[in-house]
Amino acid sequence: MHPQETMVAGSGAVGSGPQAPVEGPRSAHASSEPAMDAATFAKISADIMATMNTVIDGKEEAVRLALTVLLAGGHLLLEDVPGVGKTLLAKSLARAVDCSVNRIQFTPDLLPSDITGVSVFNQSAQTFVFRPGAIFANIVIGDEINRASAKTQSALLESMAEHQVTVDGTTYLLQQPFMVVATQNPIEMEGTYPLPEAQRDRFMARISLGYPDEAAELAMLESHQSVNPLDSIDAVASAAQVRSMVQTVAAVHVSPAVRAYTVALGQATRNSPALRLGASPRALLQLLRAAKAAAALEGRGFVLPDDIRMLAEPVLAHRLLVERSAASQGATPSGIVEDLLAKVAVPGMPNGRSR
Amino acid sequence: MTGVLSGSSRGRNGPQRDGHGHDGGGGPPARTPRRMLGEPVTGSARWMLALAMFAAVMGSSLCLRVVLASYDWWLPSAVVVAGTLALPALLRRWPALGSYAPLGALAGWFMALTLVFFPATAVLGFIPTPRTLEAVLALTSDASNVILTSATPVPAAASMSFLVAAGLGFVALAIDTVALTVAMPAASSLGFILILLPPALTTKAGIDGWGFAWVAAGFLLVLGCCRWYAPDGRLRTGTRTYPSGTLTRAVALGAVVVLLMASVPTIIPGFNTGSFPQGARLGKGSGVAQLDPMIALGVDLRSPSNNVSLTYLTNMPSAEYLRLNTLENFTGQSWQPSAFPEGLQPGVTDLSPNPAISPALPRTRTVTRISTVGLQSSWLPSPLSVTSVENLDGQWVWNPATQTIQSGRSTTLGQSYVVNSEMPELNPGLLAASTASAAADVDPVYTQLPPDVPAVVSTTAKEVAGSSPTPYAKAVALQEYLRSSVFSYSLATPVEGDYDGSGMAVLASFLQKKSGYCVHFSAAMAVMAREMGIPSRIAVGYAPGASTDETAVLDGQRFKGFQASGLDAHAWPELFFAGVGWVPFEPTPSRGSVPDYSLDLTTPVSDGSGPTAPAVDQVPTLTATPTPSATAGAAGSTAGASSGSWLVAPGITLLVLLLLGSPALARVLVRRRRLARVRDGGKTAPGAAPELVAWRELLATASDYGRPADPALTPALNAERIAHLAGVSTPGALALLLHAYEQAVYGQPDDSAAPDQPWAGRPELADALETLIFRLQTHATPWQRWRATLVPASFFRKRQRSSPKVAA
Repeated sequence: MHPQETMVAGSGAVGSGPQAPVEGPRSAHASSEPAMDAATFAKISADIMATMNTVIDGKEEAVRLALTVLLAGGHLLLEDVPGVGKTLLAKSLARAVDCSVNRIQFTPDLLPSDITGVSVFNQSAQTFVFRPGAIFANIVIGDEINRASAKTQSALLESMAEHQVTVDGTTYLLQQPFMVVATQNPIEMEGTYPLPEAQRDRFMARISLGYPDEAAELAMLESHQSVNPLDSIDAVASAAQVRSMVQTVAAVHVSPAVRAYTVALGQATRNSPALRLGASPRALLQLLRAAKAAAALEGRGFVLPDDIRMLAEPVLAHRLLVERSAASQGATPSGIVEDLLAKVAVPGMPNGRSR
Repeated sequence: MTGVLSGSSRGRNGPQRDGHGHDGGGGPPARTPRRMLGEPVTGSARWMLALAMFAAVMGSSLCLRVVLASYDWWLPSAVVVAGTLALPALLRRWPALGSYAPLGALAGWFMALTLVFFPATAVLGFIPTPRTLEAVLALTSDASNVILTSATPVPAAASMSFLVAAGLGFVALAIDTVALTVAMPAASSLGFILILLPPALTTKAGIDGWGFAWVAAGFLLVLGCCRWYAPDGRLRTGTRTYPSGTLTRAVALGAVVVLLMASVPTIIPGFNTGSFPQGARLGKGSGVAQLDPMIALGVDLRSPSNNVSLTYLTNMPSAEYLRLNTLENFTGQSWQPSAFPEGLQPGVTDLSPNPAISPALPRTRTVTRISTVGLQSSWLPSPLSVTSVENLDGQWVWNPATQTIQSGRSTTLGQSYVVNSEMPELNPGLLAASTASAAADVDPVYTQLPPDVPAVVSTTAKEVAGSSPTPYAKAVALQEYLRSSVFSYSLATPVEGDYDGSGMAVLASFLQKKSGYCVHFSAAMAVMAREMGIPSRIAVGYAPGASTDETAVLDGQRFKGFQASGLDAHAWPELFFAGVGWVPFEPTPSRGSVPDYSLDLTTPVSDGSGPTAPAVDQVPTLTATPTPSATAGAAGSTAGASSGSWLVAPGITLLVLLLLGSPALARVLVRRRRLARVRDGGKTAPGAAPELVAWRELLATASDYGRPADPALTPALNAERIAHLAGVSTPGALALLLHAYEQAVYGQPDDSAAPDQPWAGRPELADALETLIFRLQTHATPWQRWRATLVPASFFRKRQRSSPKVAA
């Protein structure tokens, strides 16, 4: 069964997903899913990545990062020029996992209720019935998120942060897993509302896909000219499986040394003279969560400083604001993160490990 | 819901991974020759075995103390044995070279012998040259002379030290080869039996209990260590885990061997006393066999020993000649002491040294208090014409014919005694008056000459002294001739000219080449005196030594102190004059001092050698001024040098090397300790976890090779750098270490372990670490290797705590 995909565009037409919105107390959350054993975890994650890689050629790292963010329970911001496959990446992730998918094409006239949903009066029952918005899906693809008005963006943000929607005083919980994959076009910024810092902070990671290399591009031209690659892939994991994978990730061990390293990195961003805004505590928390997911994807039961190191740029760079003076000398957030990584000492060789 | 992924599964190698070749493809092809040597054997087994053998051989050698008179041979022998054992131990590091260990032992044996005994003839002091071989042959013939002509205990001449050191070195070589190369540790007892042979065969008492105990203990030590460190003939690599029962088996085997050896005397007839057949001697038959004193003297003089032999106080104003022994039996081959007369009674008081002298002659009474320090001899040093000896320990026999005092059992070592002696007041007038033929007054042994006296000897004698009227004038003429500037004093010439010794042929060579030392001068004078009809003999002893500042007053007489060292060993002729007795002369230029009665007052000695002290109140005794060599001896003795001078240069070199090598040594020790900790665990300290120690050592080694760990890099990235440094392209040992470390530092703690439980050993980590260290070594340039070995960066760099303390 293919995941449902609903197009939400322009006037705010809302399609409903197959899964009914869950109302009521939070206890209905899927945290009761059992954690998964290591072999199954490894197999399913490998399957998901393999499936996605058949669609997107030569982007193994981006694919891995997308899955990492999904398993860490975060949201992904794809920022790149048009046509490099941002939407394709989001869609392939959604297809590989058998769960509900909604796609929202952000436009300036998109309304908050298009996202969250609206209460409609049912004449026959004489009651208001909540019609869920596009956000009610496991994976929500927000295309060109910077084109929507700030009000609409805020509606999205609340649901991203809280995993819930409040309409007319009623709070509706979102399904698990829940992930927003938003794309943003860095050029042609006229008439757009760039995401403010606070919103960018809500995305766990930002990645740029970049242009494929020559071989990948040739392969892409050959395979994609007639058929839509998305049509040929089947879901390899169910939502329940993903939920239990998330549970597994949560159980990954984080040693004091790694926590110390994470904090040291955060302190370094805040103390760096080249940065106007350093990493927030939430950023560090998300960094650690992403690192746990990455460790689990590696088949490891504990986080290594290498995981932190690998994810520092995608997780931290989009939250950092470079000082004007530094920016004028060509400093970029990514470059600064790189510099900090080369400076901050990696804790290790402790006097002892607790046992 | 915890721990489902606990335990790193990322490419983790099991402990049973093969230790070799997992990164075999890593290195460039240039490494092939080194790899052909095989993976180096690690661990201390080789050195422990070498040490055990060294201890065993040198301990066993203590049973030789009954054969040799002193312990001078022990230190040189220790150096030789150490050299012999060190090289094969080094070679066994590489399995491919292990089978060449006996060759290494042979080379070590040669080089150590050269270093100790013939450094002057060798390149760099230890690489033998053809000249070394010549010196070896010379010393060996000396040694065989000593053995053939002496009874045990043999005086510790350099030649004997050489022989013993060479023998012990050979035993070490044999034991090493048999026990390790051939892998038959029990058969190494043959080597120990070799050590037992000399005392068993040459001493009356055989081997005493202690000597046997030493040898048995040494054998057990080798046996045990071989079982322990090299079971089945293969070196144990590094590990200190012993299979159960090895020790028990070794002890049992050793006990059986000891029992067997101890029961041999009761089982086999002929073993009556001691544990080995008691000795007949290798010398010539019965009686007191004698060392050829002439040869020994030359050897003594050539191996300059600054050790003080004896000190003495005398009431004479100047130093005295002290005699040990006399040589009068000239066979043509050599000068020998005459046979010891039978029937002499012990006792050294109330002697009558010069019964032939008319009692009317005025006499000089001399009191000499002699303390022997380093002299061990069965002959008692004393002045000529002893009348009594007091305070002497042991049984000593006075031989009136030669006026020497001898003991069969006791030695002079550590004695302090007083000698009273009495000489007629000699002066030229008295001696010139003695014209009667003296031949009838003395034993024929003092006048006999072999039939084939070379023409050059008799013609020279006639030319020099033929025209002199009296025996005294003849003697003075001979002395003047030998002291003239025609002759030169040299210790080396006779050896180089191959005429060392005192035989007739040697004498002829000496008279032609006119260069030699006291042996030749005194022998020449003695022979030529006999040609002239004057009875003669050669006294062997000490020339006047150097003055010490010691003085004493006894019975109103002032006593002055002197000392004589090995450099003062001397020989001089004594001639017999009718009515006067035996009169010493000094024909050797530049040695001793010329007695003034032998100076013809009308013809002063013109050669100017040996400044002569003016006679003090006409006392006709031997006056002396310290010779330069004696002064040197005194200086050396005050410095307290108790070991041979050959040790000084190598000693300083060794010290400097040790100093320079101390960082390397410290580094090696640290590495060994860490490896042992990784392998065996055992510690409970949190930082002593094997994984952490292994990682620390890996980083330290990388730092030694110029790639210190970057604190800002994660362990994996540092490992990548090390892989690059070591030229390892595939994971394996490195991945094993890395994952163990990551697991230990970042992994899920093991809640089940008690906090004070000792760490379990990780042998596979130790193996991996050793492999990596080897890879780093082989992949480095020679310069890097030297630097890493001698100036290990990790040793000098302050240990960096790269991380802030992590709350555990």
